Amino acid sequence: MINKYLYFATGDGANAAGEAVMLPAANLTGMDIQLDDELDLFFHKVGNAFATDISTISLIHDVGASREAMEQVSAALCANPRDGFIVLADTDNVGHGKFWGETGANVLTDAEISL
Amino acid sequence: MLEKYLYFGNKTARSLALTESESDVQTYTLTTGLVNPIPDGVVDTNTIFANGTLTAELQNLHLDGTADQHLLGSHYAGVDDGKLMIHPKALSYNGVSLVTVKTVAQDPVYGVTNSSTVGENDITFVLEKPVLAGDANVWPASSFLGIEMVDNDTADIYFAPQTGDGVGNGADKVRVSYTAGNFKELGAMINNIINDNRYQSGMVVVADEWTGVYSENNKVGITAVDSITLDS
Repeated sequence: MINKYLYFATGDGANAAGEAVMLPAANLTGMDIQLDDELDLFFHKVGNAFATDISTISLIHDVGASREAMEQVSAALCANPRDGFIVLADTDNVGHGKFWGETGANVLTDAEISL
Repeated sequence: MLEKYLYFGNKTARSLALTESESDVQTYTLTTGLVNPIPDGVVDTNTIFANGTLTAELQNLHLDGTADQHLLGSHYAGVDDGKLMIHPKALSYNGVSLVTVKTVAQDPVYGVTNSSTVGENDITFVLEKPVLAGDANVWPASSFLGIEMVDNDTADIYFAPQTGDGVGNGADKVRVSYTAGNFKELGAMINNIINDNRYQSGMVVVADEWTGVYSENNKVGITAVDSITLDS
């Protein structure tokens, strides 16, 4: 079994700190609703293996679509791309490829990174 | 074990009844009495209604042919006095707090022109989806720690904390109620979900009060997701 890695970019060019990150899918600790249009994904702290803190990716989505966003993220996590690389949100992309599964029922609109 | 992602939804009923309505009013103001913060939505769209997050129901529909009655679009043919669920296409939201109902002149199909009598335009808004922290959560199945019986019809399902630390209680907890005596069945259901690879194609809805969907046709007889308590 290959390891899966999730890529997130905030749409700000992915050329400065905090604008893109790749995290192991296995480090996801869970998902919680932040707001009616914001879902938080929690990961083990990226910069400190022994931290009592977490890294957070906030996915912005259509208002009220929290469950749908959770479904879209879960589908991405369960996907099996041959190289294991899963682009969950990359709003730097032009056209298609901004969000995993966007050709289906995409509810995601943006990502914010807090490491 | 293939990783799976387990969803639990804990419904909190949220509604806002706006009484003492004025005559001819077509715009209503949402308050934090509905939910705090008020959804910001997308300015001047009906997304929040079209996707089923928010519904609006008139409480005192008046249709007796008199001059002050409500006027309804063709979609509502055959309705009587009383309550009327307004079609999402007739509703728009300004992204801050104002909900506007299209008149029949603006939308001959779904529009509603409100009554000219004070009090007949009372409306109730209901939030139908999870929008706040603790309304719904997902955990990786690998975070599952165990199930502890509370009493004959209640149990706590524990997960390693999303916070990733041991501060607070050191675990996340979902409390569920179910048909008395079915603790063993609850355990078997969680076991099946985690070990049956038919569940590995996406999010697994274990128990969702918002939609009334429960895993495995609810053989356990789950009646409520009583609470979701996250580690601090």
